[in-house]
This record gives sequence, structure tokens and C-alpha cells, in this order.
Amino acid sequence: MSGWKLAKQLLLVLLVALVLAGIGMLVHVSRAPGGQLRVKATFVIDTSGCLSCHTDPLYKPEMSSRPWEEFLFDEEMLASSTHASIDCTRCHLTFATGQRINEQAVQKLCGQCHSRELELQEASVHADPRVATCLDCHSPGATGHDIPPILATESPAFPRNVAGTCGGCHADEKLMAGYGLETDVHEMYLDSPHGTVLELVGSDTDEPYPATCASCHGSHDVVKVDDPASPVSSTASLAGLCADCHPGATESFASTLALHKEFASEELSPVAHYGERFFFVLTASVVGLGMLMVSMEGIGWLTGRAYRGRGPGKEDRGGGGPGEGDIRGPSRGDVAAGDEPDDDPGDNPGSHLATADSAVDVQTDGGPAAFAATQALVAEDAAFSQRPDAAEEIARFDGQQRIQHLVMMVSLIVLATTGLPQKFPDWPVSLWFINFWGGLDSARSIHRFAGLVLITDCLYHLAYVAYSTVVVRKPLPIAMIPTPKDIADFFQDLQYWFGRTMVRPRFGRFSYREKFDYWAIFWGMPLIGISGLVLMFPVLASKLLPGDAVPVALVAHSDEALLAVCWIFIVHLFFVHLNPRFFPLNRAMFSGKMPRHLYAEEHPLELAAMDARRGGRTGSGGRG
Amino acid sequence: MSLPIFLSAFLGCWLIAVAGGYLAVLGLSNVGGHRFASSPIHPHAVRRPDPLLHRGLLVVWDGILLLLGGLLMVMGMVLFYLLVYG
Repeated sequence: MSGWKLAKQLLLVLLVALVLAGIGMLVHVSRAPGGQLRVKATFVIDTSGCLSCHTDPLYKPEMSSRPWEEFLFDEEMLASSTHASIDCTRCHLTFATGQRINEQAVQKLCGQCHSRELELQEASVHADPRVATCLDCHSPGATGHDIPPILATESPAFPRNVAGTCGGCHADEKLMAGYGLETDVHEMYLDSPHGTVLELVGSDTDEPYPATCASCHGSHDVVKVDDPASPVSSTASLAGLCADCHPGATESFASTLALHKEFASEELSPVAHYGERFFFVLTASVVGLGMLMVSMEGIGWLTGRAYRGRGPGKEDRGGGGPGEGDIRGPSRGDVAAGDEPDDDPGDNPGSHLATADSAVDVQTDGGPAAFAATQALVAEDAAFSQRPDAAEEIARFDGQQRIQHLVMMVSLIVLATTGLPQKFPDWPVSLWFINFWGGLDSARSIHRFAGLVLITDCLYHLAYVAYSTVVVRKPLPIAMIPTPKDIADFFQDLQYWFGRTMVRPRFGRFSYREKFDYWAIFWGMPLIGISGLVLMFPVLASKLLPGDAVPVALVAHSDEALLAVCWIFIVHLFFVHLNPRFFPLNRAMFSGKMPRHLYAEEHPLELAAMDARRGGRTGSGGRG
Repeated sequence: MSLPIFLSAFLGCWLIAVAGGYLAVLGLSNVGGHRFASSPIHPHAVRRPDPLLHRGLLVVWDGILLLLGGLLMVMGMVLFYLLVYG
């Protein structure tokens, strides 16, 4: 082979290679998004061929006057669709004319494959394509190109999303006006127990979803609610539906849980309706009172005024005998110049609690003198607490009482953090708490267990009191029984908070606040415990109790719990632990003991009585 | 009702109720003054205004305070109830 011939053959091979490379490059560039050079794929009308143009924003079709943007769509969106493997021409029969598929045609096109669903829909209230098409419930963008699988969380037909999908139309006043349908059904559903669960169940968990619209009304075969064919046309058929999830559900159960009515509506349950309003007023009043106590007391602490309203007069310190002398009067500095002691203790409802001969009228002075007086008392208090007997620990609670309180405290915290998120499911913090407890199912189980622990604790307390009194022959704990003095003490505090007096009430073993805490549990526990059991066994309760027992229990349980939590977290914690004398922790309920100087501040009357019993220790009630 | 509006309504109505409570306590805390002692009867005593009149006026004034305070307290709660349920 000559050299020239070899050169021609090499040149030919090179030429062919160049041509092939050029073709390859053209094809590559045409497929690149935004590429400037394109080769029209006219050789085949399949999905790949359609995408070559319909993903290209620079392509300029000549066959349609509509903007090209309308024909563009995201390739990834199509890839995630359950119809990704179906050829475009399966639905786009009118491709040649460039016409959009209209609503009328959508049903028929879907029915090509989904014939059973089409048949059901044509017999439903949604048969008219102007009312709803397949795309309204299955395509998030209503384009038909983005139909995720039913069990994909982004699908509008996914169980968690069904209520929102239905609500998209059924909460639209303009849309529903033409059909005379109510528009608050979606909101009412979300307020129902099922809606609460729906809001708290995470989409990425394996927990079962609650009943939604389709669970009772059907999906493709929705008919009017008064149509005998509707599953919700009668309570009997509704009970059958309820029994799918609540075995044994009766008509009574179904009728009280009619979800398209406000749960505590007057129509559904008058007792729950007015009970809810009663609790609203009660909670607002109690919380308002608690806010008043906390804010006014807090102002006293911050300004140092509280120091002037307590403690024995200087003449009482280290002197005087037990008994009356221990019921300390105000400091001399508390008496404003020009004020005359009122010698009639009956004039002031609270004055008999102070020394009979040193009741104090209104203190109105202020400024540097008051500040100096306060500082002097603070310093005096500090010096007093250094006295040898001031550090004496006085037993206040026995081991049984401390354990009972500890169990109650822990169970209450658990109950609050697992229960209140269910009352306020739309608060972001609620979902956080539910996730903290491991999901809704887990949180509910823990809530029920903690509730049973609390009930047991309360029953144990009753048994403890009975045993202590009857068997051990301890005196009946009458110190906890409210007396007229408690009302007088409360009024005395009101006067103090409003600046009408500087004298604080003197408490015995328990203050009026402690008695309120204790007896509030006696009022609340039966209510919250029994209603909790009703909610734990709703089907059984609906068989044994009147029809609206479940809605009433729901209102009573959640509202009473809210009231209790508000009081404990606003008032109890504030006065017990945030009190400057004990901050950051009052150890009395944990150690069972309280230093003598603090006991003298908190429970002077009891301390005086104790000292009197021990043989007339001098100055016991005050600080000496 | 959104949470901020709810809390604002509650605080507003609460302040009305607290103002009422203040007036009511003001009225009640003066009860002692309703029984102040009469001036001594003496032939040469300086004539002073009738203590009975003073006492009566004080009772009326304290009664008004108590009534007004009570009404304000109730009004605060009713107003809040109406804002939520009305």
C-alpha cells in the first residue's frame, strides 16, 4: 500500500468521524436546557419526543397563538407523577391542534383506564365536571401532569390532606352559595376530636389517620347526605361506620359525635354548650384573680414594700410571750406620722389578725424615707436570720405527704404536657410536645397512665387521712378546713395590694391560698377523673350514660384541666417558689422542714401555737 | 379570634375588672369609719358638725364605691364574654 493511498483512507476515516461527532454534538446541544441550537424531534410522538420541546423555553411554535409558557412544564414533576410511564398521546389526543383538554374531557380520559371510578363518579354529586373533576382531588396543581400516588404525602387525596382538599371548595362561600351548602364544615371538622388528631399526627409517622371526610361520605361515590344511599343518612348507618374504628359503637355514640356540628353546640348538647361557657367565665375569673394577686404581690416584692408589710414590730423581736404577742403587729416604721392606731379591731375586717393594740391605718408615705425604712428592715431581717435559733428546722410535712405531693406534681406535669397540646392542636408548640412524647398515640397512652396515677394518688390521700384519723388517732386535719378568717385574710391582702393598709394577714398552718389549692383539687379531681374515664372509654360510656356524655366530658375535662394548670403555673408556683424568701425553690415540700425564721414569716400563728404547746417559749411566734 | 386579639381583649377587660375591684375594696375598707365615736357632750364644748351626718355621708359614699366597683368588675367579665361569644 502506497503512502498516498494510506493517507486517503485515514482522511476518509477522519471525515466520517468528524461527521458523526458533529451529529452527536447537535443532538446533545438540542437536549440541553437553554441550548441555542436545536434539532426538532419530529421522528416520533412519544414522551421523550414531547419533552424535547415542552421543556424548552426558547422554542417558538408556529401552530398556536397561545404563549409558549402555557405549554411548558417541569420534567421532574412528570417523573414523580404516577402517570410518568404513560405516553403523552394517551391523553393528548388533540395534540395536533394544540387545544387544551377541557373539563368535560378530563373525566372521560381518566375513565379510559379508571372505568370503575368513573362509573361511581357519574352517579355522585360530583358527576358534573363543572362541580369537580378528577384533577381537583388528585392533581396538586390541577394540571393533570402532577398526579402523585394516593399514599404519597403530597397527594391531595392522601388521608391527611383529604379534609383540606374537600375544604378547598366546601369552605369557599362563593362556590358553595350556588349549592346552598354550609361553609363551616371544614372548620368544625378541625375542631372535632378527629380534626384534633389529624392536626397532631405527623405525616411521616406510621400512626393511623383519623376519620376524614371520605371516611364517612365516600370518595368517588359521594351522594347527598339525605340520600338513603349515603352512609351518613341515618345514625344507624353512621354507627356502622364508627364501628369500623370504634368497635361496638352504637347509635348513641354516633349521634353525639356528629362531626359537622360544633362539638359543644346547643343543638347537639345543651349541657356541653352551657358548660363550656360556664368554664370560660370561671377560668377567666380565676385567672384574672390570679393575675391580680401575682402582679400586685410582685410589685410589692420588687419595690421592697412587702418587707414593710410583714414581720414583727421591733418591740416584738426577742420579747413578748407566746400567743397574742406572736400575732405580730406592724413595725413602728409602718405607721405613718399622724396616723392614730384604731383601737377598735372590729372596724377593720382584717385588723383582728394583727395585734389588737397596734392595728395600722393606711400607709401613704413614700420616697427616700420609705426606702430607707425598707432597707433597714431588710438588714434587720438578714441579721435576724443569723441568730442561732433562726436556723432551727421545723417539721412541716411528713414523708407520706411529701410523697403524695411529689406523685401529684410529676403526674400533673406529664398530664399538662400531653393533654393541653390536644386541646390546642393548632399551636406550633403543641406539635413539639407531641413529638417529644413520641407521637400522638404514645402521648395519649402516657396521658392515660399519668391520669390513673393521679387518681390513685388522690384515693390514697383519702385513705391516708382516714387511717391517720381513725386508726392512728391523729387529730383531724381541721387546719385545712376553710374558716371566716380566710375570707378576712383575703380581704386583708386585697387592702394591702391596693395600698389601703401595710398590714399583711397572719396565717396559721395553712394560708387561704394553700386551702384554695387543696380544695380546688377536691373539686377538680372527681370532675377531671370521671370525665377522663369517659373519654378513655367513649363507646362504653355512650352505652351506659346519657347521649351527650362524651361531649360534656370533653368540655369538662379539658376546661377544668386548663383552669387547674393556669392556677398552678400562675399562682401556686409564683407564691411558693418565686417568693423572694424561697427563690428559686421552696424546699419544705421536699425536705419536709422549714427554717424557723421562714416559718415565722409564713405561718406565725401556728408557730406561736406550737411554742405554746412546748412550754411557753418566749418570743417564739415572732423571731425570738 | 386570633391569640393576640384574644389576649388584648382579656387584658383590657381584666383592667376594667381590677379597677372595679379597687373601688369595691376602697368602699369596704372604710367600714370602720362608719362607727366613729360621737363628740363629747359638754356644755362648753365647741359645736362641731353632726357626726351622724358625717357617718351617713360616709356610708353613702362607700356604698356608691362598692356598687360602682362591683358593677365594673361584673362589666369587665361580661364584656370579655361578649367579645368572645357575642
